[in-house]
Amino acid sequence: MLAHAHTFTLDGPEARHVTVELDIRPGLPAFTIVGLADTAVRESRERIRTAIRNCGYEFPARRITVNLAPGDLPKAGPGFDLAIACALLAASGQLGQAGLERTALYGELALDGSVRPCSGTLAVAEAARGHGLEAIALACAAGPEAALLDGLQVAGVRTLASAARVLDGGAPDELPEAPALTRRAGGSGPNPDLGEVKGRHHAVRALILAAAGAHNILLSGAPGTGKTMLARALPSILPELTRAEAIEVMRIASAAGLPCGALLRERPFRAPHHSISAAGLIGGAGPGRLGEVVLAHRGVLFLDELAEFSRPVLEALRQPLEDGRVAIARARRAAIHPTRFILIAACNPCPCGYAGEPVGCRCSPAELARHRRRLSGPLLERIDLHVALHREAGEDLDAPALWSSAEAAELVRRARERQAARLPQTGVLVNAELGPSALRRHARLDEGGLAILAQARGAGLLSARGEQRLLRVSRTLADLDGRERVRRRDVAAALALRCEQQLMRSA
Amino acid sequence: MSAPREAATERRPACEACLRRSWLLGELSALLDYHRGDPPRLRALLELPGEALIAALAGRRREELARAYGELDTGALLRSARGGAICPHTGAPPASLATGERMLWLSSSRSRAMRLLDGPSVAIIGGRSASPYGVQIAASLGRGLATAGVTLLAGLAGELAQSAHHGVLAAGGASLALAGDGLGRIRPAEAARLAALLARRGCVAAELPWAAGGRGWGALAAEQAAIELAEVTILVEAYEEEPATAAARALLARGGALGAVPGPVTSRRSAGAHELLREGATLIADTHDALELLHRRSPGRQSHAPSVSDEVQLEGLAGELLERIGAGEDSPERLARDARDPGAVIAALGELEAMGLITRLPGGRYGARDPARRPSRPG
Repeated sequence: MLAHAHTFTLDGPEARHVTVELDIRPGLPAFTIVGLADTAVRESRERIRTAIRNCGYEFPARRITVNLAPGDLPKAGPGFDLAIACALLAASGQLGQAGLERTALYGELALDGSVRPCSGTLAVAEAARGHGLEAIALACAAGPEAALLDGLQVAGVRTLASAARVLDGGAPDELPEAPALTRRAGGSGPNPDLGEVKGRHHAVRALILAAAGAHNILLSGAPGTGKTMLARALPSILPELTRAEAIEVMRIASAAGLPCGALLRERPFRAPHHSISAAGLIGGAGPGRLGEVVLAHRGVLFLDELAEFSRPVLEALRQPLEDGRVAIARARRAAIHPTRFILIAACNPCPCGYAGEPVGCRCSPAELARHRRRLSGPLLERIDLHVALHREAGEDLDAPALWSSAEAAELVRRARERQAARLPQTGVLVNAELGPSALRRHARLDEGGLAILAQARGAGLLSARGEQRLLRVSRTLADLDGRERVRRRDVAAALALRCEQQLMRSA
Repeated sequence: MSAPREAATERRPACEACLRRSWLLGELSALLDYHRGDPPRLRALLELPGEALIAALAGRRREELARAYGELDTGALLRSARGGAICPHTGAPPASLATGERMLWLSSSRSRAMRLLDGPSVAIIGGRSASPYGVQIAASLGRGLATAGVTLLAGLAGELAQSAHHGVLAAGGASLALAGDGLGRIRPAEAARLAALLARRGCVAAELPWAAGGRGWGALAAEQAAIELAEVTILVEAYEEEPATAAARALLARGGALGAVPGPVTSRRSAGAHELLREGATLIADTHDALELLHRRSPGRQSHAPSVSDEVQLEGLAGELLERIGAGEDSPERLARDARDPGAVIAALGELEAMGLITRLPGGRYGARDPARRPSRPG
């Protein structure tokens, strides 16, 4: 007897359709799975055999062959258990075939027959809807996640027996309430409020500018000047995710196996340690493994101690920063993942950390040369804003903060609204993503602006790419001021915030 | 087209005697080389007047040289130069040059060299080879002096002198390098590259005419010239027995202002500096120490970097910021702290940077650029 079932496998943050074909023939008892399955899939045979028996069904003592089609797509993870078990019940006449044709099945089986949730539920549910299936049966715990999508029936099943009941037209089990996560998993502790930052008004203004236009920003300075605190305050002034963005972010988090509860509007904040590898940062460490740049999509990637990251890791950032996506090609697969994030980096100006400070730098030439090699020109050129923080003599550390996070967030929200209003013409939500033609239209300079741009070009301060980035920042400065026209002072201020010249010299 | 040439001949940049002396030193450089191992003899020879020097050194070429010396066409010699010249007896020479008997051939215009020599100046000297430590200190002194608007004087050949010049250039400043041979014979390639950079953004000066040279003691002569022209001399690194140490010791004996940079006590390259520190040289750990020594030497002198250049008139905020940067308020945070419109301050900083009036220094602080090096405003 032959039976078919629909299930899905994860390919990065996306899910791909897999047809489970199961055939039972007379012969010596055997249970074979083919179709480029990994170890977790092959081990499912033992789980399925035991779960079927423990749920009171009969496991046929015949020759069972399972084919996971298409055969050239690598299949990974334990999510195929439910589909294979149900197909086996149908092929052995213990379940009708009709339900299998309109329902996707996704879940891992426990030995007692209960169904466990798997990572990537949201991506699977989206793919099931896209494939034209009416319903999806999965573990109750994963139900609320899939239920975020419209146009797909979500049937929570506690056990294999419940799944069989649902496929035969019975009622599903009740879905639990989505666990209300107060913070996004994988983040790093509570973010400080901008109101807690004493002084540093120039840096706070630059941070608001970065948040308003989604520009990349580098904070450099001696130890203890507040770089990390400022960087951690960035998420608190960013606008909430829209529903579509939140679902996009959740799909990625779910595919990465991060705990997902109710839809969170908070933006992702990823802060990997500087010992991370290039594969860890951009992905591709294993089948479907997502990198930190993908997990930071629509959020913030914070690289503290930028100069301590290895050179290949930092160079790997070039494509994600420039294109907003990363194309990973490995021996058996190639994938493109979205990487629209704000990079916020912090570093010392030199290995001892005191270049430009009154105490003086004590680094050897070799140390300075090593520091300079880490931060390459092409990488620094992709960072729009640079703020150098200094220890100032007579600095008033009790000075009131300029803005609280709520007030700064309001400024950012208004600037983003102006950017969103241009969406029909530009096709992008934030200035950092403006293309050259959109820039020409929406960042048209007045005479003064053109003059200062020509001056900067003449002084060798700008490359062609640097000029584009300068114009994007100028556009955001005008948006923060509520002006339609980009003026001379916007271009000049954006120029004062460019960084590549300075850091290359400091090392 | 001949009128300007004649006018230039009439207003000569150097006097007849200095030009003849310079030509003669060039002709006799190879013969003087024989005496470089005997400095007292060399000094005595150099003090001789032209004819006596020919008689003492030229041997079989005596008559031929004496005739050529007598008939020398100094106008042709001047025309062979590619830049200006400057001598203690013509025009209004800088004070440092007026006290000596030294004429200089220049890679730049005379006015540029005058501007460099008129301001406060510090010479950096050192041994033939340098440790990475010495190179770093020399570069950092160069950067610091340029930011403070002090002219750096140094040779062109040694690693220390070269890194000091590069430090000045990195900070957007200008320095004066002294070449051992004529400006047309600068060797090796590294020195020639630096000379080309300095010709655009500073000045290279030589005692010998354009094509003269090949003297083995050229580097020493250049160092000696730097010491004589500068108000303060700093020895960065030298072995105890090296000529740089001896020259610095002679300066100290004459009552000149000498600073020395200490190094590791185990380093033989710092032994010369340590010896001079014991003998009374001032300890120099950073630019601040150098400026203090300079100030003690000539309290009334003002460095020229913080002031606004005459040719660039800035109004309002930009001008005020430039003054404040020159006075040491050098971080954007500090400059914008109490401003009514901090955004305007940041914008003005961007404008000043685009105009080349300020530059960003290591660590991200701002420094005013030397007025001599500021580009003119387009349009």
